[in-house]
Amino acid sequence: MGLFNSFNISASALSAQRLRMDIISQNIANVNTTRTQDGTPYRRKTVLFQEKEVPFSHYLSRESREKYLSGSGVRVAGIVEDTSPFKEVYDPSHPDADENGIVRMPNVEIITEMVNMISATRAYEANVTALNSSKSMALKALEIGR
Amino acid sequence: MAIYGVEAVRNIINASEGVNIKKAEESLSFKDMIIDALKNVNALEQESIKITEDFIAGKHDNIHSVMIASEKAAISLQFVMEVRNKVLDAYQEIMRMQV
Repeated sequence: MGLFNSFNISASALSAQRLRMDIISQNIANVNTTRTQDGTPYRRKTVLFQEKEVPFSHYLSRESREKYLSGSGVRVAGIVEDTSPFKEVYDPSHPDADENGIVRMPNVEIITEMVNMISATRAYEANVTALNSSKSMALKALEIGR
Repeated sequence: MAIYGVEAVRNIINASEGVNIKKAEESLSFKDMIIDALKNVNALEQESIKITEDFIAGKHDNIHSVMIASEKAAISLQFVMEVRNKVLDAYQEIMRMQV
């Protein structure tokens, strides 16, 4: 439906930013985690966004006669792991220390995560603002001729 | 005494009547259109209710989808109300006509 297209686009972005926020929380929560199921320290995760494809059915439908396609929002292509090296800390009392007393700590930078968190929050806000703007445009249209 | 200016208008009216009748037969009647719009609004309301219930029941945790669904329903309802008001205004305008 044409009227709610911008709503759906904003909704997809809101979901995407929420998932990004989840991943950032996971990174912050595991900033000191030295063991995972793989046996390695925790690896920082990031979210990969991708433009959402226009569904094939759209080209078959009546709406496809419109000249311009506005797209259908964003989707999460996947969650990728940061392959940068682990931080090495000398702490012989740590149970996960090797024979030289070196502990491999996760490659999570708390400062980076905080900045990303601000970015995600602001992006979420921006999408809510876009949604509210399209809502007030729709409501303004209903005031025509009043 | 023939008034030629007015006679010309009647010709136009006669000509336009034929066109109007044809159009009315082809297109959807107004009643159907209103019923369609109401069904659409009802569907959006139902969707909003379902999403809200699912959220309360914990089936999903997207607050924004709940809000967006209710906004969609509210805007559609307002649109249909606006159309209804316009139709009623037109009806009352005609009823007020001096006969």
